[in-house]
Amino acid sequence: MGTPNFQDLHWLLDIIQSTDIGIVVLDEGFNIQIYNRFMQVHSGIAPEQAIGANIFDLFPYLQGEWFKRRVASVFDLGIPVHTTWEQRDNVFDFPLQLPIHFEIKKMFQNTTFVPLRSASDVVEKVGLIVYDVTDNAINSRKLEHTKAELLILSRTDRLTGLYNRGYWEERLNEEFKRNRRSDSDVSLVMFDIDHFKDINDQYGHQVGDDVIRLVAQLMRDNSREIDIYGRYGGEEFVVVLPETGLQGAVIYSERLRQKIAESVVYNDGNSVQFTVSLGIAVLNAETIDPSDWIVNADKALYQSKENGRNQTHIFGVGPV
Amino acid sequence: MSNIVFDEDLRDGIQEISNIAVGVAADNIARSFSTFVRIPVPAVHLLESADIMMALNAVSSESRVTAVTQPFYGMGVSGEALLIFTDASMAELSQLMGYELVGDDRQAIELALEMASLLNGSCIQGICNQLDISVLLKHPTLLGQHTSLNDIIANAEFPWEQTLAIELNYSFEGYAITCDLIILLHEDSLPVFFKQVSFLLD
Repeated sequence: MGTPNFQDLHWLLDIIQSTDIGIVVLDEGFNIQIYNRFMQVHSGIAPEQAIGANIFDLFPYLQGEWFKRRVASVFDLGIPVHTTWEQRDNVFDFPLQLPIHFEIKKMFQNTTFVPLRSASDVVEKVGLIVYDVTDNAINSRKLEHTKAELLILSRTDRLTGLYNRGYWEERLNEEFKRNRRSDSDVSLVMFDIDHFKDINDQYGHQVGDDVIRLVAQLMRDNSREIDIYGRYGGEEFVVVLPETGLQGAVIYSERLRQKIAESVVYNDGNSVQFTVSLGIAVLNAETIDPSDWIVNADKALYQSKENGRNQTHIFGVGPV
Repeated sequence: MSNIVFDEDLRDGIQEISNIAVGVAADNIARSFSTFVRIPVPAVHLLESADIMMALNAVSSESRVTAVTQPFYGMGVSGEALLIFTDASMAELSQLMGYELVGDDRQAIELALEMASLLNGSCIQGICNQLDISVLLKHPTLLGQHTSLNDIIANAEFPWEQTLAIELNYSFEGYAITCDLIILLHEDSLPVFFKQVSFLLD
């Protein structure tokens, strides 16, 4: 490439002014040498104010270790240094004031610090190339947010907000494994709303749904933060009680049973009352695997049903 | 493919070129952080796409890593640098780089991206300079955090057949930091890259 003539230089300067990328050139004393239009319009600082000024006078917030060490790396090592919005939202804190996209309040930037060499190959200046990556940053944050929401949705039962069966079983498996490594007690309680089909038939599915929601609420109120509760099937509920042996599980079950028996769902002048039957299975060495644990709790629950409902049975022990 | 065969001579040549670049990179890091960098011996492999997961697992089978990629484009050559830190290295990395340890995710990202910028920049520029390839580095991006390489890259069906991988394991004197840099070249870049290396060797 030969020496560009005057006309070529003019075009190059025009492009530097017109491009939608910020271009700043600094000398070793952090004085601004070039400050293109992108920088001007976003900072509101005119070129005559910027050129020759010290960058820290115009942007006092750059007066920190972070910015200086990047510039120093470029001078010392002679290699480009990149910073991205993922590590720091931006280098230049430019507000964005948009009438329609009002929710975007500031510009996110990727910035490259490049060495500018003299004819004798010494790094004389540092060039800052500032890319506006606001769209990128916003989209990527939205995506993260959506992923988090999807994760919650995929784990939750719609009607009750409790864990759904699939996720609850995952958590049960974890508790089972954890228990194999430790010697703390853990219990499983499974229960079922008595004569739920009759409630549906007599009062309609709307009332049935209300009953299920109320039971879920009472279960939530009755549980601790560490308890893992979920809706197992239609009118069947489950809860894993970590750090809880037989005695604790009985207290939990009986208290929940009484609370549910005392509660009422009102509908069209009718007051609907209902009860639940519960089964407890404390995890012990004879429990082969997680599904065996569930089967045990289910067997105890079945005994409560057989025995007249509105009661609790303990697997391997009998009625409470 | 090119008419240049990937033989032992070519491999040795690429290894030698990488060695020189790595030396410069290590020197840069040493100057930036005043610590001695053990210069790794670069391992150069021509990998089939089917083998890449195996190769990456051999580099880091840790279940919790932070990984950063950085694309680069030269005349006729393009690829990506992949930099991997084990989560266990992060505390010492902040020490090495002279940051106060905050220990949150944001800081880990900052550390990994800054290190990527320095290491990748020096290595790739060093290699391309020797080969007379002018190169442009893009911004590094975070590929994943607190996760295994397997979870990040598995399931990817790579549409290419082979890639050249230059693998560098960095260590820093007095620090327990595990850091691996893998430079992967796109297969369409191999003819130009091999040609430039053979030029240099002749």
